[in-house]
Amino acid sequence: MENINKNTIDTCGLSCPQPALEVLNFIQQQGTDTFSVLADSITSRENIIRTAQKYQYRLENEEKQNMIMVLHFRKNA
Amino acid sequence: MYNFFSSTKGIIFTGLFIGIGAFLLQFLGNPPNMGICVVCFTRDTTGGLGLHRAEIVQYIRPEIIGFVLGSFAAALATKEFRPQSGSSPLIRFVLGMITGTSALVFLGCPWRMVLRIAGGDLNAVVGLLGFAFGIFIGTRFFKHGYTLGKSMPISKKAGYVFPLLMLGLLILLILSPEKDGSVYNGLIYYSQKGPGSMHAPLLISLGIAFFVGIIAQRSRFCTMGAFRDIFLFKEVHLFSGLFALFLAVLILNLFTGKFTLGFEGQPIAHTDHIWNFLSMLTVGFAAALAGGCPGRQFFSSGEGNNDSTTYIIGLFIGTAFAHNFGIASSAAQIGPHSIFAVLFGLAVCFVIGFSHIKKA
Repeated sequence: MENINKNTIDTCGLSCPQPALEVLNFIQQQGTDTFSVLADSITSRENIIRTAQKYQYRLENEEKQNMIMVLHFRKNA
Repeated sequence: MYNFFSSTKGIIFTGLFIGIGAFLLQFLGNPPNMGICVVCFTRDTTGGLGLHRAEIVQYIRPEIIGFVLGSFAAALATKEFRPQSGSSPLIRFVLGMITGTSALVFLGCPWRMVLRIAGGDLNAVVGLLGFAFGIFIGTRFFKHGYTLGKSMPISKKAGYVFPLLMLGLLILLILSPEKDGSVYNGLIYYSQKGPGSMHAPLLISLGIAFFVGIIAQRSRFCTMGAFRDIFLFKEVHLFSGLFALFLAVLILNLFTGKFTLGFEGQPIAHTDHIWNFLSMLTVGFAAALAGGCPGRQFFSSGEGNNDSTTYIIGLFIGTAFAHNFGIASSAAQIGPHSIFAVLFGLAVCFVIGFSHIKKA
């Protein structure tokens, strides 16, 4: 898969609330300007986006390969 | 595909629909302050199947069937049907058992807890405090790295099993109706008195629950998540849906004179504050560790999540055991073994929590 940021969080296989919690932990501990998340369910995707947006990140780009979604986030200016 | 139900307006609509649906079901025959109760209806269904012999709570409830089939239909239609399994299934089974036994000490699942509050039952407010505190305890474990591990995709056929089992249960219910007012029709059981004898017409129960299953799946409605997300993420999205449910039922109860504020004399409720609090604390804690309230587990199983199905099987067994082993409360008081069951369940939750903290 191309364009995967080195700051990538793999949430595949994790159940609620872990995907969003992994993202929150990353934001609070590292807080890089950009990061990517691998997710394998729509529910996870929604929760991850909601969490990222709450902490001032926007979904910049999204790819899908087979059942895996790659979400690319960027910090709001 | 845009999913309206996952928006704030969508989950509020879901809460309102569930509240109105629950009120309607109660109006049409379901027990008081129990238009929908996931745990009680699971218990009633185990009674209908003869897995316990408490004669006043035996009836295969179409509602829990409708939840699964509605969720299944929605997941299939929106390509969200995603069979998976392997995330500590037996731990989830145990958490389901603990939920089933403890909720029947309180006399309701989180959904019924909200319906009771909306009916003026202050005992349920005590339960709510315990429920929220139990979830808070659960979130501390998540903060420290608690995980039941990853699940893996499994075959679509494996995902069809539980919806098909529920369909089979429905066919059994339709083909084996009540006979001459007797408790046992030769195949399944029908309560002739008590809460098990109170039910809305089958097709209406099924229909309302089917639509609840659809919108609950689309909105990811979860009573435990409503509090968990506030504690973990300071996020009120799920809570807004739960509050909408409460508000809908409260307004309808006030409008129809079915609101009675107080502790004493509430329908199918006891006033043992300590055990209302502690039993729902255990329910909240177990549901948090399992990743969803009992209702959410039914909707998730319709999506193909076999780990949720395993939790539900635990719920079935737990609710049956609750009556077989004197754990379930009555309206008068807690059961002879309620205290042991709640404390043992709570201890097991702590053991599960501590033993599944992933070291960094």
